[in-house]
Amino acid sequence: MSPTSTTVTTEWETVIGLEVHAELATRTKLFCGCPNRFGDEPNTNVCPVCLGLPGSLPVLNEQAVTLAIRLGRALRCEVRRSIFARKNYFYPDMPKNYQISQYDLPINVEGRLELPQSGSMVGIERAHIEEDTGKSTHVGGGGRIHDAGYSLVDYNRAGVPLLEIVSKPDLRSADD
Amino acid sequence: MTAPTQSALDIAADVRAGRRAAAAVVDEHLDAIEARDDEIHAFNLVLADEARQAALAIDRRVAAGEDPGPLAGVPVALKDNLCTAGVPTTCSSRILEGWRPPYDATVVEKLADAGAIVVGKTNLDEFAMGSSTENSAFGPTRNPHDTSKVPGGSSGGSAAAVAAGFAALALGSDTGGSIRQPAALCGVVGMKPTYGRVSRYGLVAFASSLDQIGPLSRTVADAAALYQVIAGHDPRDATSIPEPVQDVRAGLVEGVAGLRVGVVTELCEAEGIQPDVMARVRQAIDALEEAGAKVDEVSVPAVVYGLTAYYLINPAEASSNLARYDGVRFGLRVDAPTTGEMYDRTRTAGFGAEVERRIMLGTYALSAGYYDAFYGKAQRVRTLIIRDLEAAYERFDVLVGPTAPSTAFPFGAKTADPLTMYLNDVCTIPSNLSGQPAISVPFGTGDDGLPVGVQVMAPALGEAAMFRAAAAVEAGAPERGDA
Repeated sequence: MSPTSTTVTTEWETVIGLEVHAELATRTKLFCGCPNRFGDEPNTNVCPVCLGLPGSLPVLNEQAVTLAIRLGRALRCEVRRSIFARKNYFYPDMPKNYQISQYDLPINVEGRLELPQSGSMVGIERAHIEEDTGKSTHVGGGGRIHDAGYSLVDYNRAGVPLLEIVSKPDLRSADD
Repeated sequence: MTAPTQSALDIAADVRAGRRAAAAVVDEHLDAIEARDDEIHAFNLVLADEARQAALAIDRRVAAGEDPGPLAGVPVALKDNLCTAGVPTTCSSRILEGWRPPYDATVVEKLADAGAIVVGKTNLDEFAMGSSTENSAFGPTRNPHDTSKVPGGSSGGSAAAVAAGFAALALGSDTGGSIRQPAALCGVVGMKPTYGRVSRYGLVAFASSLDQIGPLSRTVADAAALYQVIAGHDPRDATSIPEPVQDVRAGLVEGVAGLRVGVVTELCEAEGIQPDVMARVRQAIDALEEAGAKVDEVSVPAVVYGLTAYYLINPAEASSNLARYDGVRFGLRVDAPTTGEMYDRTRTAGFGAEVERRIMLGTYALSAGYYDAFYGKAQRVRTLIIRDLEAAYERFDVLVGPTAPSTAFPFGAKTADPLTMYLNDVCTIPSNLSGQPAISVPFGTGDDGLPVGVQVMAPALGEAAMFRAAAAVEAGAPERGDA
């Protein structure tokens, strides 16, 4: 007999943690001067740096750090000296095949957010800065990579600054 | 036909004064290339038309009374891992064969501003991984002093170009000795600046914490002049040093009276150092002493771990830096039904054996469970080496030793076992790990008549003292013939 929604909610405890990637509203990308702008023609807001062309080098966008700190303070985080680290893996929308992110020493740690409706407290484990990837459009099949005939990659979004916010598993309901 | 031997400074002085046309200088060097590069293969690409156009532009500026720049009319060769806009930049790899960067490296822009004339892109070990230029996907470069011997590497093409008179100056890159060792084997000057002193923007990355661009030349004064042009802060390179560049040229003639020179025991006794090479180093040290330097032995104990630390750090960083070569956006693509297979086929077809070896080593060293044991440990050993070098520099202004353990070796002599090849870097590696400057100065020949290089090392931002000592070593060197 398959479980009904009543058995699920009475016999199982709901425990939810969220990982949210929020794009930071900077004028330019995290490591280069390309516009941080949605909706333009594909591959028009790109340069050697965000395309990861050989010989290119990243230079940090100060405004991204300012916004990250502001968000961190809003989440009552401890703001710390932090380091960027490379997350190495292969994927066509990630030009360097590594993502410049933060790992051991993130900029914001140990914060909390009081939810407006329920008043519950959600712990914020960390909120770190990292670069976004490009956008893949899989053509053919079901629009997913597995049965696509081919894929198109738009790098306008590659290098846009993100704050990755990781909550503790403190959420107890869908409403929260 | 004898190859041109005029120094870069003399060429520039003549061109600036209108005594020689840049067009004539360039033609003379292009003739030398045409006469002998089929044999030497210093170049992946000769830019004859572009060089002639650039020379005409320089001559027009001189005629119009404008300042054509401090290196006006000087033919320069660029290692083929330096991005040149619209001009193929291959890193001597099949995976970048034909790739044209859409931008110039910062050093390339600086050379153009200085009036120098690029005559071509030089051969290298693929992605700068190697010590003999035998790892090039396009065939090796031959040592102009003896074409049965290697020119060293990875900047073998640049060193050979200067030694053969194809260019008065060259730029190379040095990650573990890749400017200094080929300079020593080819009998030219080769220098690696303090890490961050020269912008890496536009240098195709191999090992980001170790790579530096530097000059190769026939004289110390020429190297200093080229260094002066390329050094300086670049906002496009976040590791670039903000402090203004000291002018090292005036100090070249100051001499070394009172300069404290340390002879590094462990480097002089390193595995495989040829006795005839060491004899020349001792001669150079005597020359420094005669010139008034205060010479003494110094132990830098941790330096013996340099090779091991380097051959963990460099592959680790390279495995990450070379991940971008995947056939998706630029360069070679070998088609396949799926993306994963396309990656595999492209990278297998595109990379040579040494590159593949280092990517695998590096990926392993960085993998979960091994990261701290290998890469982490190697970086901590690096700190120990830095500390021992800094301790030595409390008592000494510069350190001296051999650049390479041997003179130029025959093709194939060291390719059977990668470790044998890696030993070539034992004397040069410490300065890359510490980020400190070092220079190789030609000093006589070995028993086989092949060039020997003496290395002068200095603390970070100590280029002035380094060049002073280098000039004194050069002044005391035995007479040498041309290639």
